[in-house]
Amino acid sequence: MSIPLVDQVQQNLLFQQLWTQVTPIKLSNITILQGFPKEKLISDDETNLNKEFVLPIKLKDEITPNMLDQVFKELQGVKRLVLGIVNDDGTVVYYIVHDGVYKPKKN
Amino acid sequence: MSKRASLGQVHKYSLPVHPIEVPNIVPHNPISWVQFLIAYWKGVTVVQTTTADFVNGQFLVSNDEDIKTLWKNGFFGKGIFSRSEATWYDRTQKRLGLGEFKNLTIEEITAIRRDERKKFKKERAKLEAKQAELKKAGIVDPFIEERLELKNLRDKDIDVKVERTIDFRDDDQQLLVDGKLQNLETLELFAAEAFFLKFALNAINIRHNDQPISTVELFNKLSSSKVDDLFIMNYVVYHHYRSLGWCVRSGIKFGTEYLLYKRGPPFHHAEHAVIILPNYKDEQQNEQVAKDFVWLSSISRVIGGVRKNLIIVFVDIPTQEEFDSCETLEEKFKLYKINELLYRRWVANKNRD
Amino acid sequence: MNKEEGAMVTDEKLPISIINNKAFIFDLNVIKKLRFLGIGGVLSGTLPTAPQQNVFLGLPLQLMIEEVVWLVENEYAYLVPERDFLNDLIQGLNNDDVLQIQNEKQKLMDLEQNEKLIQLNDKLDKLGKNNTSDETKLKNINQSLSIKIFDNSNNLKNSEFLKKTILQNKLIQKNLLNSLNYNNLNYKIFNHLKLKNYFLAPGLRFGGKFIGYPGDPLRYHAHLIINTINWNQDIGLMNIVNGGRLATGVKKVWLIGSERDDDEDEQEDEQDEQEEKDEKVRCFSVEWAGFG
Repeated sequence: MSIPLVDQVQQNLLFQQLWTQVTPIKLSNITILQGFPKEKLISDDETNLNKEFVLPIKLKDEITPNMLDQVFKELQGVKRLVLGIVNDDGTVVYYIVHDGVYKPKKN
Repeated sequence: MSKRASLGQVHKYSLPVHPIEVPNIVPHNPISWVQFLIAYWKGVTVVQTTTADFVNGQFLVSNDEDIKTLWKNGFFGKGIFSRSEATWYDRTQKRLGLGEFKNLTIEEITAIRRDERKKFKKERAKLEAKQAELKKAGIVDPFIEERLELKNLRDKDIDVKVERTIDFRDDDQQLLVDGKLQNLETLELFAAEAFFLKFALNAINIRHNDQPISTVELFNKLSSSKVDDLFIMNYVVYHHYRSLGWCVRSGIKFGTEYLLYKRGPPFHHAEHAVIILPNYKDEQQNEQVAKDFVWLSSISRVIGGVRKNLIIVFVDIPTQEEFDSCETLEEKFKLYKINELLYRRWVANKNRD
Repeated sequence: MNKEEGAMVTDEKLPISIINNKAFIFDLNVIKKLRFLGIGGVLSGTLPTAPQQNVFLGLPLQLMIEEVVWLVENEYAYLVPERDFLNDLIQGLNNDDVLQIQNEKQKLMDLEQNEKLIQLNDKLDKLGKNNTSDETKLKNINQSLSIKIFDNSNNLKNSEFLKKTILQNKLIQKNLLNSLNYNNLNYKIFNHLKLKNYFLAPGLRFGGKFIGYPGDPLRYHAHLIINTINWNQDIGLMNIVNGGRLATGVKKVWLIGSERDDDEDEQEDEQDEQEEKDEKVRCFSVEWAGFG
């Protein structure tokens, strides 16, 4: 059974942000998405395009440090996560959450 | 310039309810008088009615004509795959190499601008690095100095003459039916927009599970009927600014509830950003929900950074008894009052004048 | 980085005045030493030579509560209470204590007297007029002996005894520290980032609790806007949108600082107290993705 929220973000990634190979992954508490962005997520990255993970969430939902910690724990070795935040007007805004203290790159 | 004129024509009406169109009277011409009287007598406001489906808590408009109507008459809604106006179909046609060349869409222009900016910054960084190196050696190269100066005069209106590259990916196969691109994009209205079109203008039919639903039913689905329900507060503010002629859109991009446009997004950037706070009659309740200064400072910083005004709207909340004793929705909404506060950062040595 | 540049830090603990539950430093030398420890504080006094502006401020330096706690816990500083507290302390002195303080004062005066005598003798010798008796000389000198009134926290040096009392009395120090009412989580995050050699300052201007520099603010731009949030507290997605947008716009990162609240036994092996306190701290850095 597909979840409308996850579907919505998947569609947005595929057809507006032009990501490729976007598929859902079921974790113990939630479902997230994985896929390849159109361009490198962070321009200073040494390697080429990385697989990125997106957590779909509604603006009005709750999110705690505990929840973020759990997602990182289950995705062992993953250093960053993208939050796909859905507003009730259909806007999806994307924010990167890094595991730990991160040094900002030049924009 | 002609683009401006035609924009004005296209968006002649600021709401999907059009006033009576009467022809001008030429005083010495009796025929114009007759035409005027006939038009006046027949006078019927034209209401552009559209349909939306209420599904999974979202208001979706799928009919292409309706989508255009809602955008033309007051910039209602947002294309689910676009930045604001629903342009996905055109953009995708171009991207996949179908359809004809047309003007670049906002998305494309923004993307190109961002790219140019990146390139520009890279070049400037290179020049600056060279300049620094030479400075260390005690040399000042006039050539580089001059180039840097020129680079600093940024060209804001980057002329976008670009050739489209065709980008057909595996994922895009599912978009075509018989070689023709299907329009996947619907228009989404947020709750206050949909309710305004239904309750205030009666210019929309809302379907839920394929059945039409009434205004009262819709209200009950959207709000909990508690006095300080978020939907009611947000709606009251939306209704207030729409009725004053503002174009009200979502402010999530900047962390606020709404953005106020004088005419609409294509004309000018929004001047004002609105955040909404409740004002209870009971001070204790107010203290419980009060936000702290760090929050206010943060929002005002973001808004200031994009050169907009921050408007804090306090909504006076009636008591639950007053609310429950009202029968109609009009009466209920009338109990709420709006107070506006303009909040701006003031720096002693900069804002002396 | 701090320890290397901390050559100026002596074994002597630095005094921090606690006045009205706020922490102030009145001594410029102490301020310099604090800077080498990576503690900046905020100048909060008016400049006497330019009182009608507030762009440049002067002494005293006000410290954040977290800075005070860090300095005390790492044994760089001790807390000096206010006048009322001192008055009570003085009331509580017994005769022996008073005698001891008087003896100290007498010693200082004798020292000064002898110095002045030597100076006088030297002068008279040079002028060739050294012919009065020592007694007369001492009488004259005594008239001119000054009683120095110190105008900063060095005042306490006048009485080594009082200073020792305050410094060594653990109860006084503990009570003073507790009277500051600091938030545990805020301090844990402060400490965590300090261990990573960040320089932290108040973050109100940027919509955060702290702002973090990778070194001294005079040399580096800030990297972090730091917010402290409890482990099971809703961060607020609107706050993430706001904070991320704000931070990215000014080339920083919006940091969420939190601490595990579970009782999981992490590592069993020996760790020093600092590390043990710190390992439950968990941070996340937020920035706008640049699209969407």
